[in-house]
Amino acid sequence: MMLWIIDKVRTALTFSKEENALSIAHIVFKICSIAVIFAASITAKTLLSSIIVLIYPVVITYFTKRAKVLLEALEAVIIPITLLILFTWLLSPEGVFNIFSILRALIIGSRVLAIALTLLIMFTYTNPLAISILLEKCKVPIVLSQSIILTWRLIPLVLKDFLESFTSIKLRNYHIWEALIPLTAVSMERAFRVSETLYVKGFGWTTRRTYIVSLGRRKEGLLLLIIAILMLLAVFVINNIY
Amino acid sequence: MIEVENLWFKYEGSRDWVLKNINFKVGSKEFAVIMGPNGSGKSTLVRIMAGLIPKFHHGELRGNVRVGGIDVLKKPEEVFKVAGFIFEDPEVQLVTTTVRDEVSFGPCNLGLSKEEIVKRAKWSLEVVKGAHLEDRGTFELSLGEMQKVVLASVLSLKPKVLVLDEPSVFLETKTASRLYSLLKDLTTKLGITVVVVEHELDRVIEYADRIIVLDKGRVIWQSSVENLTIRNIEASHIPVPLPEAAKIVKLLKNERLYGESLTRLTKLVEQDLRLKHVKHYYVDYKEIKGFRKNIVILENVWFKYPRTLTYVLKNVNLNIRDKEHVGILGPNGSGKSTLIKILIGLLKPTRGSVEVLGVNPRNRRKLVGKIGYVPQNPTLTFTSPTVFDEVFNTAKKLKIPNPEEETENVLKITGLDSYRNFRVLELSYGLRRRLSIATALVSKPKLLILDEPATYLDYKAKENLIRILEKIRKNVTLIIASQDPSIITRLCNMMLVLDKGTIVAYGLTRKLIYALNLADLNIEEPLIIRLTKKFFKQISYGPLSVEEFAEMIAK
Repeated sequence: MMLWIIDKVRTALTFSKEENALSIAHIVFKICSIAVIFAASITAKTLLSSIIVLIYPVVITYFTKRAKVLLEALEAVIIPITLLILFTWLLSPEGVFNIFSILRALIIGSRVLAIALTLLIMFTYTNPLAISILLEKCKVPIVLSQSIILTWRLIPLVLKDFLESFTSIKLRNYHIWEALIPLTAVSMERAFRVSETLYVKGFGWTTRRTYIVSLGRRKEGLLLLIIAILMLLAVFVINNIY
Repeated sequence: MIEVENLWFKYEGSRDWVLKNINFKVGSKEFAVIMGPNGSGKSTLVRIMAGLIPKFHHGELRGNVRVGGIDVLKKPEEVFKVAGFIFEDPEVQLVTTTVRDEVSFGPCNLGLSKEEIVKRAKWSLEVVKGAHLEDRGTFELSLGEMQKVVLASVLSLKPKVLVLDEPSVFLETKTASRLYSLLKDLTTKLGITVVVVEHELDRVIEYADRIIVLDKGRVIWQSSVENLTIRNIEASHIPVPLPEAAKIVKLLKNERLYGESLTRLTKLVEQDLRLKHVKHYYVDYKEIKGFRKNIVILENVWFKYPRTLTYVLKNVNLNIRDKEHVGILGPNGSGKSTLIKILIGLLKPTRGSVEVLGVNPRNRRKLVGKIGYVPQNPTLTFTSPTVFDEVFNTAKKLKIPNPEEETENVLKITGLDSYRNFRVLELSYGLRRRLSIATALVSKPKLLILDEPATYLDYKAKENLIRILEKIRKNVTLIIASQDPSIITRLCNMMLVLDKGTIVAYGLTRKLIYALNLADLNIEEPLIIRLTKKFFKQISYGPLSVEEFAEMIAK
């Protein structure tokens, strides 16, 4: 089960270079849209309004013209969120056989699901370089802004190592957590090599870097933001009606 | 272009000098190769040349190193402006998510104009013949393609010197030859000085201008490659592996050729052979008669990685019988490692069914102790601090009776008994691989699976590994994925050839290697196979080792 989840998370966190309306949308609008959806999710008080927020990941999947990306994101988060719903329901102060405890669990689950799916789909189609350019424009030091790209690059590699380590030690009857020992050693070696690579490629030699990646197109970005704002408004309206 | 004078270095906390009074020069447009056994100080030397020591690895450093006019010991941070450095593993050298971003990364760090960066990125990809890769993501590249992109990303900095630390370690022979041919072009056409660390003399002898041999931290031989002869190697005890042609000459005791340059030896050996009409050399492989159970069954297996459109494995059907030794041969990206990962249950086929020892390999609990797996990176299997603990703890986890006795036994078989108290992370790659094999063997598995076992090994470590596997293979079914045909021909009676995810052929190694044209699959045939095919017409069963070849010639 754990292996399955890690495999799915690895897939969901792998950057896709396909060009579509979502990938070319302006990074600032993307981040604003995520913030608006986050606000809409935490504002949603009823089951209907929290389900309305869930439409947003479906809409941005339409932007990508690739339905599988929604399925991949869903697979990565479905088990932890199902467990969240289950325990929220079981540990509810109103008791297990109470409609309010069931509703509360479902509302919390849908809110988290909407945020998780939006984040995963959005970042699958966002070039990490665009984020680092934006951070740099916000005066974040170059070393910090670049570490985002590296983290993006290394997460799937570390997860791949974990899966391989886990399988090989499992065949020798070790526990899953013991895979963390070789994983730590290999990741440290890997991180060390990456820092050497950055050094030999002149990273940090000057603070004046040139970027060839653009921040994205405003038109698509604006459309994403408008849809997110509409979701937020819909949540407000439904909250007030019911 | 490169001057190293009286260079001494020892790592912080170490008593021994890793480099002892190193002196050499490499001229402009020269292609120099640094050779030597594991632990001779090659990687330390090139790291000093790249300015990584003492910046990343601290220690005591004496002497002078100048690269492209820059005093490396005084201004290490400026070396990148004149020298590009490439490590052995291309995967960790890709720091961005797309090829375009990767080749632009270096020039972006220099703060050049956008137009200049785009121009350099295009140029560097064209130089490495990788223009078609520009729009690809770095996750979807094969190792050969990754190596090209890494080279392009360094070339885009327009270096005067290129330093490469074992660049061919993950590449099949043919791709490695192409890489070296490309590097040779860079020296002749662009005037770049190239310094390469390499274990296999066979791979570089055609391209190198100068050879520098290190042993125990000292330069024990340096000269033009033309001066490298069997006589010189033997007289000066130069620790380099003899190329296949030289081994044949030695086995035939053809002393006339001992003084000839190794660069010409292959042609001279060919001249010495006459066209013969021999159908069979001999057949030593006696197929085990009677019923033997299929222990690995793959039916219509298809596999593709997420976020990719093409299948890595296409309709693979395979039966492997008990006690068979199967070598999976194929170029980079042919699906060898994917097939291995499916067999150990790490990957689930997109379509089709897999059965290993009678169960689905995803059901790992039923396979505990029955499969021994040695991954490409052996460090991923280590959970204990010392060599003895690693094997002993595995024996205990697998509830083996007399774990201590079994540990001693396995350490002896794998030649690790003298390293029992060594820390696992302090071991060389060759010893790490042996330790990984030892932990896989402690349960006496029915099936032993090795993924690219020769990676990172020098010729001595490779020979040791082959000897260990020869010792243990009688009692185990062996599956080895390798891009090195010499390992498969020496260890496996059966050979499976994969190309672009499809099984091209599966059968007796001795027969198949002579029936197929491996060059068509981008795999370089060992010299003895090439020579036998060329000079012994219509041969269907031929020699598999240099010794067998020499014996055939003698007959």
